[in-house]
Amino acid sequence: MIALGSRTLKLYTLVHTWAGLLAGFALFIAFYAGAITMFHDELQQWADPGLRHVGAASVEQAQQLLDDVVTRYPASRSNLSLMLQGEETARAYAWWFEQVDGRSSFRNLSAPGAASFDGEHQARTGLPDLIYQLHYTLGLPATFGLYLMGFICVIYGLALISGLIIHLPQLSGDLFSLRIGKNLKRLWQDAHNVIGVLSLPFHLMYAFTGGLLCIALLFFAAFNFLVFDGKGEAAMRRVTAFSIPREPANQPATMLPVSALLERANAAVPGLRATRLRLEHYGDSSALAVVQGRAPGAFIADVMVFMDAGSGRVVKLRKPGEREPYWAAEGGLTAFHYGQYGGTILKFVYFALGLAGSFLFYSGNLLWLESRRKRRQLQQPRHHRVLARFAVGLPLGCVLGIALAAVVTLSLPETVAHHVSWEWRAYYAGFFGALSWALARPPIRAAVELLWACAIAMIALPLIDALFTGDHLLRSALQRQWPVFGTDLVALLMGLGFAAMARAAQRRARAGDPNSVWALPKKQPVITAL
Amino acid sequence: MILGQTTAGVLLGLSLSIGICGLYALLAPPSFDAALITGVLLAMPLWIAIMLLSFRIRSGLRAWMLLGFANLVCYGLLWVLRMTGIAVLPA
Repeated sequence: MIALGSRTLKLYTLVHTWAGLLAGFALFIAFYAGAITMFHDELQQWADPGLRHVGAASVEQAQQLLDDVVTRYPASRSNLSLMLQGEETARAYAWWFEQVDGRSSFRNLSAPGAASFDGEHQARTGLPDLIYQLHYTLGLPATFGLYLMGFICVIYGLALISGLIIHLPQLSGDLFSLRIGKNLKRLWQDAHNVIGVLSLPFHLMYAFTGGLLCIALLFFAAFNFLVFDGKGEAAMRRVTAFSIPREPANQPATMLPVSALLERANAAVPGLRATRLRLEHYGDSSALAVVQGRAPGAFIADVMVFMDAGSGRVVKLRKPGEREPYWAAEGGLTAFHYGQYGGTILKFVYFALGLAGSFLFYSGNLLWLESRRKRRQLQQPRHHRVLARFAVGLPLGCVLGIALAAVVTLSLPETVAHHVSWEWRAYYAGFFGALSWALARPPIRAAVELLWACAIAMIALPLIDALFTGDHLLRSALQRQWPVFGTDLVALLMGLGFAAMARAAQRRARAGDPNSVWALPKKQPVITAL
Repeated sequence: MILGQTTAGVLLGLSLSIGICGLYALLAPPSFDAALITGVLLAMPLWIAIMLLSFRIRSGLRAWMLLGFANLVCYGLLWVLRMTGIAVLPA
């Protein structure tokens, strides 16, 4: 057993507490939205009912889509991606960027679905992407949010290691005890500690992978400035380059069909499950085709097969065991961060750990308030009262916002333009609405009311699904629509969970210690035993 | 309050971690590409480690002096290696 001096213990407790307070709010959103993002692809089918009954994937359809895009949108030929129907993509679609009024504009075109194809099928909903973006930007402007999250991960790393240092001496007995009983504060403390210790490897992985995925670019820039005297740009660009640099030859050439390109890729990497076909300078003699996919049986399964699009000759290959250092690192970081090295069970494990993680950050703030509570007086310090409001309003605002966005996703008529914008508006309405509510109401009342609001909004989701699409739980189960069934069921269960938390908070309001930020404002002072 | 130690750890710790990883990237055989990527990967955890250690320094002033000195040594070494041509940045 390591004996920590009391000075060291106090020091690292201070570090852990401050790091936790600084990063906790951001990490709640990252973990909650991140947990849901484990099922990003499945959620797409829930969010876009048109994707629930798509026929089997066919190469002919992919070819037709490609021909359609390059004919109607010649600007796409310079660099376009064809997402192939499969596990990750419910219905094939093509996407590219076009210069419109000097700005880069994202365009996409979807393959005809079971419903009528109006020729201009844009992505109907962005709900899974909204949640994903929340996860790495917190709803802030994209690049700023991304970089901020990177630094949050650094603070997160500080919190983790300092937490480990504090608890190292007690790594036996006490640490894994869950003292259930009258002392609620001890129960929450034990739960916070147990979940923290058990999920430590998971959290360490996330602090590392998350931090790097967000701010690796900034670190490269810092290296360039500090170590390479500003002359490292060319080398770094080479090390991190995705594709082979090729200039268009301005000579038209016939392109191999999609089926042939996929065949050549499969020959290069047997058993390859292709997910994406990228085309550069399509129609030109210098055209490049890149088939991206997953190799069978590998831990880091990313594959990229680069071919001449006219002849099918493989010019570059990235596959397990054969990757440049940058792509090996990127593959490793991504595999761990997105839980890509296992199947559906791993996704559920990550989902559970993600939700448990968000619980850690939620409870951390509440524990801090409880441990610093002035037990002998009614009036609590002002900064405690403010923290209590944010500790309730911000996390529950995120939960409510996401639920409201999901409500909008299914209930807004298709004829409404800019569906995606309405989803974002619903999120911000829920988020800022909840936060304002928590700032205006007594904290415990706000907690109870917001928890009920979250419960109702989540339970409403399967009901709205049944109402607007007819796919109630029984039907989606009988039809084996597992993504739809799973989403509705999990929403229902989470809603019930929030209801249970609301009732527990109600009990706290009624019967809890009046000398607390959570006490309801009383007209007469209450004298309690010490 | 440990404000001095914190600022030293955050700012000087960052430059120190990059400096150390930069030395590694320029000197480690055999492949520059691999060494650069390893360096970038290690910089963040190294920064966190330096910050955690800086908290233990007895005073803010001492922290700045200690870390400042370490930075001087590290970047001095880098400069010498670059000037003498021992460490060369590949194209």
